[in-house]
Amino acid sequence: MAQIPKHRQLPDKENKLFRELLTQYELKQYKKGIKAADTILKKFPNHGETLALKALTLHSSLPDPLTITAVPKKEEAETMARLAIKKDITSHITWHVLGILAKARKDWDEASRAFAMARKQDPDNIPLIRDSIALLTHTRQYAPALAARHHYLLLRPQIRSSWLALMIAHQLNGDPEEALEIYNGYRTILKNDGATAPEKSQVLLHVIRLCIEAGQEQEGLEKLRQGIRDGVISPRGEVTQLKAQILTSLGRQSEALETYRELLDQNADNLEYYRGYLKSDGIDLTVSLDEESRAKVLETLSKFSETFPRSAAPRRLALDFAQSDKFRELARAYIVRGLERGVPSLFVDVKGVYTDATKMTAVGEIVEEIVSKLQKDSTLNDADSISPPTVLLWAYYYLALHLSHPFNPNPNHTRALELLNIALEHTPTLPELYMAKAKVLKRAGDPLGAAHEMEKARLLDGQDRFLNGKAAKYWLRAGNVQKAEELVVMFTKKDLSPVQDLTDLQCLWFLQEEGDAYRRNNNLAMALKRYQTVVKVFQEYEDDQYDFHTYCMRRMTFSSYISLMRYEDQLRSHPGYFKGAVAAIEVYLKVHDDPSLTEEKLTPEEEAERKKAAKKAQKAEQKAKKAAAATGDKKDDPLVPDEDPNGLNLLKSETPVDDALKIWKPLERLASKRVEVWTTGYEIFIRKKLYLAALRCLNEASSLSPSHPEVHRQIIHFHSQISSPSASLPENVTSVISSTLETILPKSSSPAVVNKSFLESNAQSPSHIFAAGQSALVINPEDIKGAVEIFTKLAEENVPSNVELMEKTLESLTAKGAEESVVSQLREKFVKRVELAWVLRDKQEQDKRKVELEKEAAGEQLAV
Amino acid sequence: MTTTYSTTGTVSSPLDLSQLRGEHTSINLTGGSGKGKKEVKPNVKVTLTSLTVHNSGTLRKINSVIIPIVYSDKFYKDVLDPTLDDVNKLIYYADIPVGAICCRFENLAKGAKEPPTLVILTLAILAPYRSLSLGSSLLLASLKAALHPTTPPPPIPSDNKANTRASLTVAPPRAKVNRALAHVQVGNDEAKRFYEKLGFKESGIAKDYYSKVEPRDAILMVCEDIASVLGEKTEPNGSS
Repeated sequence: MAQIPKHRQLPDKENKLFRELLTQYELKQYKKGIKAADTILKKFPNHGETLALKALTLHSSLPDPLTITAVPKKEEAETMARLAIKKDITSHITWHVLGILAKARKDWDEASRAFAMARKQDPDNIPLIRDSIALLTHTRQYAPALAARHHYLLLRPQIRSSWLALMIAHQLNGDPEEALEIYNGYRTILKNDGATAPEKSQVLLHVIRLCIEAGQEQEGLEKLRQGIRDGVISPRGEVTQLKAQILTSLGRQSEALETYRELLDQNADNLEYYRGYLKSDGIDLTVSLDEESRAKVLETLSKFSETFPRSAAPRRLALDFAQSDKFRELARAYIVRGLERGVPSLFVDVKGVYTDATKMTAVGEIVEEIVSKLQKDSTLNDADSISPPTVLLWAYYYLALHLSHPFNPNPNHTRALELLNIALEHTPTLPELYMAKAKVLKRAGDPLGAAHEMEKARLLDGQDRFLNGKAAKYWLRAGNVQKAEELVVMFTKKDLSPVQDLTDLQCLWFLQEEGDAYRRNNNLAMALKRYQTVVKVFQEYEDDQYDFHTYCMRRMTFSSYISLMRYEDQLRSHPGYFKGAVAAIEVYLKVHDDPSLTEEKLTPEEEAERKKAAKKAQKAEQKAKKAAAATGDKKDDPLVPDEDPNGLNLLKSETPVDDALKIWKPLERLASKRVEVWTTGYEIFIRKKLYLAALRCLNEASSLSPSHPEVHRQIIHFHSQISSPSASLPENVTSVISSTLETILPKSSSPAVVNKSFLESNAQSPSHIFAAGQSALVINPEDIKGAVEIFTKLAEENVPSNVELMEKTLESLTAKGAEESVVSQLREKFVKRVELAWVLRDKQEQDKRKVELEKEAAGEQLAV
Repeated sequence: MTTTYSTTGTVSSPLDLSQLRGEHTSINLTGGSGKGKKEVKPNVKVTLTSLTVHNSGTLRKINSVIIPIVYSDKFYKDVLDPTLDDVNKLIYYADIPVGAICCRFENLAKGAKEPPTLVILTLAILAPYRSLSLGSSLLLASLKAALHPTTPPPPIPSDNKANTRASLTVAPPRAKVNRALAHVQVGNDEAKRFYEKLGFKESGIAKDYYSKVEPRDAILMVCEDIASVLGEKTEPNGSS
């Protein structure tokens, strides 16, 4: 054994204390541990390892989340750990502790460095290697993680999990063949497997998956059959799926078909099984089918619907493939069945076929026919019986949703509302009807009216959390944050603020919607705070995987572990992150364009109120402090308050564009198939004057979707930016830009001409009209009249009405300095086109309606 | 080798839950069959549910659209009493609440002059769902519950008040009640016929029973022997 350096030696008594300190830390007896450390340090204040252990013990004893009194202690622990390194730089303990503290801070870089140093001091320390492997895997440094795993196996070859973990390390390192080698080698030296039954089956399932990944399907199939024979894995569920997958890729058609039949017997409602069955049968559903194979699909599906009469899946799948008369026949049967059973989600189910416009029209006609037949005969069957009254009710509901759906070329909101009113007279106790009414009003552009309808639905059943959440969401859409919070509080923890609790629960929709509501109310600071919380939630998701690197190895749940790792790698492609991130970026860019937004503009009354509230809070705090001091009660130790409760620090950032870029970066990699990523990227780079990067975004965007309206506007914008003298670009950059730009913007014609032809070729799409109008303003900011002429097209009869774009148009015209009379003239035209859209009306009218709605709601409550 | 699997509890063979008793009770529609009524196709699930604070919004809605009287908040609080749990019910037709019955007991105390009586306060079914035997099923279910009392459910602990032992004790089962009473507004022949069909008899007029609607008088409809209406053996008076 190596000689212990002098400065680390302790006399016997202290040495014994030091050992006790180690065990006390392990047993979580932190108070005792700190005392023991203090005793040693009294005599040997320069003993680095004791200092390090004291820092670790102190750090572990702190409450989580941090309280006010714990903050200085945490800092003390951090400095102590650093001091320990200085006192004893060659000890693995001091470095290890530094790494652990850095890991707790989620500072992966520093933790990596500290662990590397510690391993240099003591390469064979087991706990150290284990910590280090987890960290390396977490930071995706698979090659060093593999090396460490290998080293670990050499130290602990008798442990089962060392072998299996090495297998996983190879797989993560992208080498499934080697992983299989490890497994097979391990099996040959194994005499008796002490693993429990669930462990065995988990491992075998994973090895089979590994075989598929390595392209050794035949071997996988043998292992699978052997496993079933040995009783290691159950022949149902997952195993059957794997078998079907292997047989399909081996091209053993008849066996594959049989296996899919078996799967369908187990679960006749899984659409994937039907798709797999048909694929093995030689029909790939992902490409468009010819007449013959379509007939074959329909025949197969109709056989299945006879075999599984209770399953809706084959009938629904058939609707995707049937055409014209056959479609009508099948769709009518499907819809009638759904209506008779009272399936509330029937519309959501069927609207999948609406991507085909002719099918949408057909469905509309079918439901109209059902409604009129029921109104006349009150039956859908023979004359001797009647249909339950609920069938007509659900038919009204379906038709209303159908008529107001955005896919409808000319949504008829008025008729939808009439139908729902008839339905409400029929049965006023069905919450879905109020919800549908709210949805129609929302689509028609009346968020306030929609919120009031949703509130009526909520009042029918106070126990329904779904209705509660919906109502809160609609209040947020209507801009009433306070009311929404009053509602959600009914279902959140009692001793926390609702927002805090929903943040802890990582409730993405609420954070997003509340951010949007704040943004609409021009409270950019709070909006940004909510969006940043969304971004933070995703950071937490990523950090949460840390524990699983060790846990899954111990539990041998390898398949789930690998799928977790793959999920985490593409985590930020999640639509929730996408939405929050894009919204946050937009706010940052808005602040960059107009820094005056960061200053709060308060009316004197608001200011007075703010001051009053601050004073009150101060008083309450003092009182609480006094009370705490008087009782000396530890439980009253409050949590560390939020440093930036109103989001002002976020908003007042010096570098809003860089903050935006930071949020955008993961999107570039993980959501590169979405046009919005590139259009957002363009807005960031053009503001940073990085013309080449901006051009790249344009290129990507236009290759994804050449006629996307926003891309068109940006190309025009880019052209005007580089042609303006302020750009002053170096020669070589200009040449690159002009040669690339030519591919997306023909050089021969001027932007104005391009814009005109763009408008002409998309004359009936509101979003294209809007983009053309915006582009016209870019080309010539003075020519507001010309732009208004284009925008007026939004109100034309043959153009589908789009309230959101109309709203944006009016806003942007005001921002561009258009005269008020021009704006209000346009407003009138819009309102005439969409009469239900209260958001478009001027403020006075909106306020009047607000008062009316509130009166009505109050009256209703009294009457009820 | 073919393996057979049990599919109990899956979509292809769902569990039969109709036998389970609990907050939701399935009922079979009784009475009124034949006689010119058309059969309902396909068959529909009908259930009864207890009244709670949370669904009282639904109860209010039903009563407000059918009955021209506006009931007080106290009324809606009283009907939630745990001892009335088995007679006050909402009826669900195909999972949609379409009707409700609210009752009260009178003369339960010993030594009362009149025999103990189930007083029907409101009985409402939404218009499109009438003539489907829902009203009679609802009323018969309450009558049956009155005749065969069960232990009421335990009270729900309050969130904002201190819970004493007394407030949490389960009330003892009621005595058997074999008499029922309903008020029908003069001129409401439809309702009168409905009660008569179920064995209620006119026994007098209550003057000025309604204070806010015209006509203000009500006919008293009484059923002296619930057991015979339900088709059970009549027990001699006094035995309970």
